[in-house]
Amino acid sequence: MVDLHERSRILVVDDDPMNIYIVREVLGDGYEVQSASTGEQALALADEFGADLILLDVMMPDIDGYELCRRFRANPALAFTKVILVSAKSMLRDRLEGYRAGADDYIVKPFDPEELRAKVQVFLRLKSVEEVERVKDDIINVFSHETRTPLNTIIGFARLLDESSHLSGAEREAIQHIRDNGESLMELVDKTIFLASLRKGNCRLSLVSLRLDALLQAVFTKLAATIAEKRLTVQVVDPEQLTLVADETLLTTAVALVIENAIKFSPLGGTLVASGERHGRYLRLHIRDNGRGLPQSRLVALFNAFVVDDIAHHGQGHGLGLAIVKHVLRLHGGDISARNNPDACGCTFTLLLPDKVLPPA
Amino acid sequence: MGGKRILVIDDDRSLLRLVQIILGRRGNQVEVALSVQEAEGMLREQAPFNLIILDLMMPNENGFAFLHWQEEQPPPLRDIPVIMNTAKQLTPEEQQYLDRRCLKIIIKGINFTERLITEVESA
Repeated sequence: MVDLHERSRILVVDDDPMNIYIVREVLGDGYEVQSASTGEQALALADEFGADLILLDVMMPDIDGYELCRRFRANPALAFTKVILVSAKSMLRDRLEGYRAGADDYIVKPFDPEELRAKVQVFLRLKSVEEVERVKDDIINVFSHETRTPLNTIIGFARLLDESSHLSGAEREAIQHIRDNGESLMELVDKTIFLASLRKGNCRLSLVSLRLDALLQAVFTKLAATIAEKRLTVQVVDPEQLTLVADETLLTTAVALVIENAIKFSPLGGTLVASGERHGRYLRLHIRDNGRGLPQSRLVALFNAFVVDDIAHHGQGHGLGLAIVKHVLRLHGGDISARNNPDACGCTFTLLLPDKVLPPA
Repeated sequence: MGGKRILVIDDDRSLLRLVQIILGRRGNQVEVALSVQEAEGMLREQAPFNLIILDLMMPNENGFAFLHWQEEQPPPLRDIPVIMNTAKQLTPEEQQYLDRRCLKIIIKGINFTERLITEVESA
């Protein structure tokens, strides 16, 4: 395999020249390797060299390996740099101390060259995935926040024009297009920001006891206009009068997104059934529509953000709604799944919620 | 209907103009400032305002800086109610501070202008 990227940089820190020689032998062909034989030298070099990965001997004469590791970790410039401790010590206690100091992994001397190569590859790949994720988050963050204010202005001025009394039909239609598209874009931005905040995990659940029928009622009331537009029949099946413990705002949002999705795929005059059942420690909420159902290829990646099977033909969903639902349920210790109905008519989304929500570790 | 004297602080010219037109049409007297610094000058020198509408994220001094400055002013300046509007996702700490400090927080979103009108008229 030919790698066209720039070569990854590895810093070897060891006071024994023989060990440095061995590592150079093993890794020198595939990577840019530099070495340091004291702690001070390593600290100076790690930054300047821009190491992607540091192989760090635990027993250094001036600053010990654990302390060095902590100092690397405290340096924001090395935030993504991977540190593998190398030591002849193989006691569990030593390895645990290494992890506590911020090391990513531990390898015991004498090591097998193949294992070292494999480990280095795994951690370099992990580092690049983390960096890409970070860039993606930053882009999404900047883009969505910077879009909100101009969109407010576009939609606001369009509404202002719409208030004018002397407009022709064609002018009014043009304004309506500006408003519809502006609002659809704003909805995307809002969902993106919401999903990003869920992914970051800076969301605190405020748990309350809820009645399932009341929650469903609230959602159906909110969506009454679109339900009427499609002339849908709605059935709520909750013979046990179930209650659940959840964050009311988040769960209502999630259930509304699933039902909105079901409405979108329902035929005119179709039927929506929302049914609840208790199953061991879990409550299951099924949302069933009688639309066309989903192709197998779509079912697989249904809950991944930004996944659309045909980018040219996707609708208003942007694939974000269901990703939000999945995050909300997982925050509650539950999950969501979807399958086509066995009678080959429409599909059913099942939301799973535990009766106790445990705080994250 | 309104009849309030309102100061709107936002670094975005078109949004300022939009808010000025919308609230002006409802009978309010609306003045605008493009920065916290400009707003502070107007509040000190001009006739008293009944309400301040403040954008949170601005270059240089932001909405938080304005709120801290306002807290240190003598009444009645210190007591002018503030409606905060923001495009930023607030952290729980920021949310807590703003809940205590502001009359209302409006997240810039689809119904921004409607909500702004409602909040201004009930202020």
